[in-house]
Amino acid sequence: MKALSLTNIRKRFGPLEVLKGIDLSLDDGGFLVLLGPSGCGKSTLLSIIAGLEELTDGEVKIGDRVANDLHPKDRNIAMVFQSYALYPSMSVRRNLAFGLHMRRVDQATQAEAVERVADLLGIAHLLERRPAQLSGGQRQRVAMGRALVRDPELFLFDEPLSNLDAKLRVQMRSEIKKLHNRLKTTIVYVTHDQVEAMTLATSIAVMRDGEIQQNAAPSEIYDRPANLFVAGFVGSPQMNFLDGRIVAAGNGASLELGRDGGPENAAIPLPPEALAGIEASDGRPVVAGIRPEALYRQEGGAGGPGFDTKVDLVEITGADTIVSFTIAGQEATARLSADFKPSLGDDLTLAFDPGRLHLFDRETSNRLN
Amino acid sequence: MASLKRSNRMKTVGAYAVAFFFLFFGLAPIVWLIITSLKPEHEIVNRTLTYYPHDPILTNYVDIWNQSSFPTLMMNSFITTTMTVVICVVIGTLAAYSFSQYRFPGKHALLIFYLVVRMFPAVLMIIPLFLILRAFGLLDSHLGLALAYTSFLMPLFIWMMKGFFDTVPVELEKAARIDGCTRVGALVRVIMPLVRNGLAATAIFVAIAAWNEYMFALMLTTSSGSRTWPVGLQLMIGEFQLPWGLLAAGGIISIIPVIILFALVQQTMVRGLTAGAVKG
Ligand SMILES: Nc1ncnc2c1ncn2[C@@H]1O[C@H](COP(=O)(O)OP(=O)(O)OP(=O)(O)O)[C@@H](O)[C@H]1O
Ligand SMILES: [Mg+2]
Repeated sequence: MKALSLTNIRKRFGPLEVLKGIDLSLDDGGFLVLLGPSGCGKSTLLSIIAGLEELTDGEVKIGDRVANDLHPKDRNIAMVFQSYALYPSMSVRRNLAFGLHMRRVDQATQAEAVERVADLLGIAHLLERRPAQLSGGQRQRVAMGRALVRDPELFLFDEPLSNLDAKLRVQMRSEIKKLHNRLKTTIVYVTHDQVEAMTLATSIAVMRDGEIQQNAAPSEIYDRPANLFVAGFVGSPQMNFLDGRIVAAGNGASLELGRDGGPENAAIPLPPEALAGIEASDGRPVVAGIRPEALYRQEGGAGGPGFDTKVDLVEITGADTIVSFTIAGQEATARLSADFKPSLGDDLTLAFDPGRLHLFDRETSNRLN
Repeated sequence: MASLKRSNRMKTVGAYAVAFFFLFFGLAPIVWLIITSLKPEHEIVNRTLTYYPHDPILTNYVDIWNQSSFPTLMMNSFITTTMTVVICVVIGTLAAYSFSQYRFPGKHALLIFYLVVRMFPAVLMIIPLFLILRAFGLLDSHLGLALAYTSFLMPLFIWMMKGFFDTVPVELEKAARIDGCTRVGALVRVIMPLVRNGLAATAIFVAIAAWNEYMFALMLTTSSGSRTWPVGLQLMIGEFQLPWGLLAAGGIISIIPVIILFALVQQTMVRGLTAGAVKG
């Protein structure tokens, strides 16, 4: 059964169309991450699922009920906000129990549920405090507790970790992951942090300007991005984009890198499997995408397709060495092993696995291979 | 060093002198009012000025309470003030909340309009208000006067309360709605406790303004059924007599409720006016 189905969701604020026909669905126990840059409509979509915003058009189905006209409290959902939105005038205990209290759950059951969640999240010793007396991480836990306590069908998280410092964020991230594994909850999670998205999600929907660019499993988003936007948004350091053309050569083809009319060109012969699915129209303008970590150093002899270049800049991070170089007049980076410590200007031969080459149409920016 | 110390002391003395000067300016009339209210008639209207009553009496208080319509005037003032405060609190709170927390078309224009309304001198509004109230048959009634008061007190209330609501994060209402509240329920259960002090402060400003108002009351009430104490007191000044003692006693009685109210909520009010952001 689908825990959530969205059909053609549209939302307008006056003349501004914020959501332009969103279709999404999520299986029971799934973890859907909405990923996208600021202002693309992630929070608005979440508010529509929660019933906090009216939708202009479309259908929201939670479980097997159409929820379009349901009050937020009747949707059997819980939400965790970026600012936590704990009730400042109430104790932590009261904060946790408030939703149950409003649903007229009896006192004993309330107390039991609060204890259970407080133990689960390790906040039992904080129950009598006010939110103002808690640290950021503790508030975050209380906010999660308030969602967990009602045992809803669907959890909505709106950038719950973005107010935490880097270390705590990593820690809470893995706790959320563990909770999800343990409780088998269904979660829709908004973030603009791609690492959060990659590590938490069972499925990622990348959004841009109110439209979904790609909705797939994290590995698919990473290995087969549907267009240039997705390819550029996910992954750090960012994927290299190199303008070029596909040129037929013998019974195969080669990728000729270089801007149109540019002085320098570099032709890289490609095996047929790299071009699977591309009609061999000679001279087709493409953008070649290669992730920095897909490049490796070729020291003589055979390997994948490759090219010669020079080292422009070296950044040593400790875990690896990031080398910037220029190919066919375009800048790119490679992520190489940490034991490689080149000097500026050194000659360098790089190669890549043709299976990790992404080709995008230069006009539509959609994936070709 | 010594000269620095001396100049510091001079500054302190100077500051106190200025403070006392203004304190005297503010307090002297009230002190004089109290003294006058305790003097018998012959001591007030006398060629030699007495600074304190030789034989203080309470007859002025007894007389104005028992032998004039003063209790009715007080009651009218009380009813009108209460109505004004209730209207402002109910409607003004809702308005201030939506101005603060929601986005809607025309919001900015409306807010500015409300500020501009405040800038007109009250005299300008009296004639149109008079005509409007007459059209609705509300002239010379408690409700009519209270509505007239809201015309200039509501903007004050809304602007002050908006300031307090602005410190409340927008997501609180959303969280409360998901937890099962309606919008109004969220306002009452979750938001209002956070702006309680501000509400007390604002409501008291409105109450004091309504309680002491003179000009609207003079123009919009005509009978003892709705006349308020400032007007009633003024009307006691007859053509041939000027009952200073009674007027002073009336003045003192009428500020007693204000003082009591102040004493009760003083702490809350100061906290409300100096409050920073609500801690989440
Ligand atoms: N109530 C509203 N009225 C008018 N415009 C709104 C309203 N709420 C949101 N918007 C607009 O809708 C767009 C999408 O907002 P939304 O909050 O959904 O973005 P987001 O993807 O969550 O961004 P962020 O990552 O910054 O939180 C923005 O341009 C925003 O200004
Ligand atoms: Mg957002």
